[in-house]
Amino acid sequence: MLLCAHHLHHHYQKSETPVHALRGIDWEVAQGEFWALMGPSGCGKSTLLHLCGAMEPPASGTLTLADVPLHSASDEVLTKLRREKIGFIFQAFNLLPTLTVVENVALPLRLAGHSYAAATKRAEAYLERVGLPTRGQHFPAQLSGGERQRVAIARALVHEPLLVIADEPTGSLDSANGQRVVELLQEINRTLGVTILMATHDPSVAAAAGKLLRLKDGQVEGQPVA
Amino acid sequence: MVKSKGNQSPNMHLTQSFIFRHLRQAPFRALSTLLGIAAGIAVIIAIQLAKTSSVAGFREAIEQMSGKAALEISASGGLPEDRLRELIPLETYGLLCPVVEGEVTIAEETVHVLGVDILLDQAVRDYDLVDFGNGRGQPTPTEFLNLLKNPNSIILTQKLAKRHGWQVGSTVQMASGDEFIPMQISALLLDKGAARAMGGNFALMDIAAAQWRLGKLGKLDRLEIKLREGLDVEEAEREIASQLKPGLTLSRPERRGSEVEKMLTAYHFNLTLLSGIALLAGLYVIYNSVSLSVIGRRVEIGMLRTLGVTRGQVTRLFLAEAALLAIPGCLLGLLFGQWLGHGTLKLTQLTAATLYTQSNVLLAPLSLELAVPVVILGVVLALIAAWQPAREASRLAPITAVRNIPEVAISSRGNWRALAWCFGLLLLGWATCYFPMVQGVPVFGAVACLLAVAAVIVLTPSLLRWFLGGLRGVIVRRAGVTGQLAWGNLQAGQRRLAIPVSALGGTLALTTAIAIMVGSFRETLTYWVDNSLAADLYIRPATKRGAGGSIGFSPETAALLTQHPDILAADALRNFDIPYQNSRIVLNAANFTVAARHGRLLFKGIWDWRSVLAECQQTHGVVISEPMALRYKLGVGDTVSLPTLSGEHAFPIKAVYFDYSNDRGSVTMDHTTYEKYFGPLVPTNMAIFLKPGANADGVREALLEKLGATKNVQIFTNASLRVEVMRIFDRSFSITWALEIVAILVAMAGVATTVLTLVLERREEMNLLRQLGTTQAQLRKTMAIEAGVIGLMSQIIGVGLGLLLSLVLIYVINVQSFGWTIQFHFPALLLGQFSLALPLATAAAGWLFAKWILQRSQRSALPVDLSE
Repeated sequence: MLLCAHHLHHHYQKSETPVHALRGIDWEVAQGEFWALMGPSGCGKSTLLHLCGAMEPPASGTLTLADVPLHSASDEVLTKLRREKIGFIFQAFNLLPTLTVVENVALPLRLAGHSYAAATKRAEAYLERVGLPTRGQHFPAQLSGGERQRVAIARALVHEPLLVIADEPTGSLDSANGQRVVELLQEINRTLGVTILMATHDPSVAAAAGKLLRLKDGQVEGQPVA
Repeated sequence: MVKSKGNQSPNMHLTQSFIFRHLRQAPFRALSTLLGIAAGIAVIIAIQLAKTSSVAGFREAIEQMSGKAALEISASGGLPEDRLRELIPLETYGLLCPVVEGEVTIAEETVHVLGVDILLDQAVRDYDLVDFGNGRGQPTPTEFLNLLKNPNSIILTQKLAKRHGWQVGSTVQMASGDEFIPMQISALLLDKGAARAMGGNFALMDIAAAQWRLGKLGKLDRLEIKLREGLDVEEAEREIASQLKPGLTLSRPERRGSEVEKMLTAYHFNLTLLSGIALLAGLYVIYNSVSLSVIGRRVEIGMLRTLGVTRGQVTRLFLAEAALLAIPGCLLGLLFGQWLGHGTLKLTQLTAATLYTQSNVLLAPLSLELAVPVVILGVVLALIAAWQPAREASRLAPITAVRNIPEVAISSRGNWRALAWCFGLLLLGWATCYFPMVQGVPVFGAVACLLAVAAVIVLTPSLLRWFLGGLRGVIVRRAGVTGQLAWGNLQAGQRRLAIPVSALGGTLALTTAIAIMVGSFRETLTYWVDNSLAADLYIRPATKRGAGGSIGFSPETAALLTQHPDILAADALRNFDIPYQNSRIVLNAANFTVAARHGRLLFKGIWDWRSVLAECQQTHGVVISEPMALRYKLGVGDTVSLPTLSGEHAFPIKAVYFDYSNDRGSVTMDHTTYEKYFGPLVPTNMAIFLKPGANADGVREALLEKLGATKNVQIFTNASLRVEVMRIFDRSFSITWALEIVAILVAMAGVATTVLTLVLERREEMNLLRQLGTTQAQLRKTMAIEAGVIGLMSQIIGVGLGLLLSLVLIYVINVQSFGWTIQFHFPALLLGQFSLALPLATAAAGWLFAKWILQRSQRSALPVDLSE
């Protein structure tokens, strides 16, 4: 298994009283699977994705990713894991505004120590793959929402991660652009064998994933659907 | 397009793309930060240049004037010529050269006169003359003697003569003591050797003429010894010292330089400390700038962290931003500092001349030895200032930052912890106040100030929270919906607002503390003047001179000054510098009978001071000034050992008096005691007491008329002397005010950045509110309230902390540095005005920036960013 969660609990200290986001999740994800996470707002989808993405360790329970125990890993280990094994796609795109499109895509490679030329070359290849071969020298502010999300997908894939975390990737897009993004994710999953975990509210988007995990009040609702 | 960046490391790449480009897009923030640092560094450089110039100037002048002399013999109050006979055996050690020196005024310029026996002196010092006979610059001894044989002959430097258009043969009016003397320029010195001393304000006279014209007949200032070749200086010094009879002191010329340096140490340390305020304000700007950068880029930081950028890399990124701003800021500061140095040197020289000794030096060029450490200091301090926000950036949880989750409100537990820290730091600061000075500088006083500042900074977030809680009713009820919006924004952003508030509050506190200290000092001085200046007229020779000058009245002037029917009594005073424990103090002599009968003195803890003066007369005791008592840990019942004509003598101390005329320390004795131990008293000042009902101005006019145009004296009435004292005081502190203004300007630049950023960040919210029907006036008012509250809170912290710091300045740093008792005085009116002005100014800034952004939003649909 690529990912194993066992009795996963998590909470946020938003004020004096903590908010329990996850209450005992048990879940297993195999290499190459495409999972959709659904559920009402506040059910814990994003929290679960961020824990799986090694953004922070869970409050309790165990969580392993590629045999690395995320629940007990140091910040350095989590950082290394994110840099080398995980790609992220967010609803708000989260591109760096001071970097050009190609620089944004090349950034994970540059952080991993690749030379500027090599990183740029591979970034350009991924931009071509997501359908933006001519936008490399533009800045994010000069792109449409759909284009920005495709740049974010290219950035999430450029370092060839094991796992891609997509947190509501179509949430800020119109239906046509949303559809193109979903098709792109399907293609990536199929051709590259990358495992994808995607949170969404949209049943049609969820349908594009091979597997579905429903969450409610921080717990898994029913059985995972294959 | 691939550029040649192949070898760039990931860190460099990040710095270049994440920081450098961002700075280019935010030129206003970058420029204001850069200028803030530049101003701080400029002030430090200006003060250091003035300081090193004056100390190096004294040292160089002494070296240039000492020439090849290795040792010198002197005596308190001058070396009597009749004692030269006993020194003749010392000729076995080398050449003995008698020297007389003093300061005179020529064409409004202070000129240092050296009186020498030119036949001997050419072996000690080099003199190169301009245009001397057939193009020769080196005259023979006989030719030199001829040039100076006339007692009215003087040799000036070419530099000085050129400034005034004088030539060989020109006649100049030389003011020495109370006389104007016409002197003829017999030759001009090239800018070499001794002629370079005092920036060219140097003159050469024959020793006999100099003794006469400087009022030193029968006395020498020193006998210099040029040792025979091959003699070891230390050995010769030991041997000669063992042969000297009591009353004579053997030393090396450089000792005079170190004495001056020592005298100026505390003064210079305090100036450096003061210049630190401007630097602190500069650091506040850096702190503010980096903090705002972090706050404004939380999502980007989160993104980088998500992509695998480590905490250390994030910290280094923001430290790199600080360095990128600090390095050009420091370099710009060097340029500004060199320019500011001229004015600073002028101001510090005036104060140094009043309190310590006359100097006439030029500003030293900025050296690498000074520039490099200051730049390094500036950059290191900038990195320290940026450390906290940079670290805060690195600690942002990626998930929190990426999702831009608002910061969590500060819990009350944090408040109590902050309060405990604040209390602990204050306690530590209080304890450090009891530590003594380190090598003449009040280091621990400065540490106490820093701890107090740190204590208040730690508490600021909690203070802000309490303050906003208290203000809620006023803001929301009185200002309606605009108040509600403003209060909501302030409440939500309180944690980040704590940064500019504490930083501005800290700068204001230092400024407030200095204002309180200077105000208190002025009030104390006024009280002292009121209770010490009892005579109706004060007279002194008009020659400009330092405290070390001792040119007295000529006998005929002294006699004339006491001849007026309205004069009830006259006190002939003498003061001059005397060596004491490797430094120099002031020895005063006065007529205690006249002082007891007509004068008024403020003694420490003694009311019946008249009987103290009588006791001094009976027992040849002395009274000492408060700085003398504190500096040398002396008190009533102790003795003070002074070098008299017959050797060291211990004088019993009978009382300590308040004295603000100098901080080096003074010993005052009755004129009979003086004459017994130091020889005849040649008065350097006169205090005249008039009969009841006499008109002081009338007597002054009559005395001036009687003295005629050839006598050069200054006569102050009691009232005009008080004005003069306060004028000198205000002049001495003019540099303090100048530094304060720089610090305030830098702090205001920081405030402007904060308020502008606040407004820019609100632009989306403003657009939304405009769509909902909020008027432009309402939005301007909201921003004005927010900015005004920031100003008000900073001012409250500034005044509170300023009060605390002023206590350290007055009761610790001042006492340790200068030994003066200053009565605390709270300048309520001044601080009240300032307290009103600052919140109004920040509110106005908020209003104006809001107006600007709203107008821009109306004109263009494009988003407005910092680059505009």
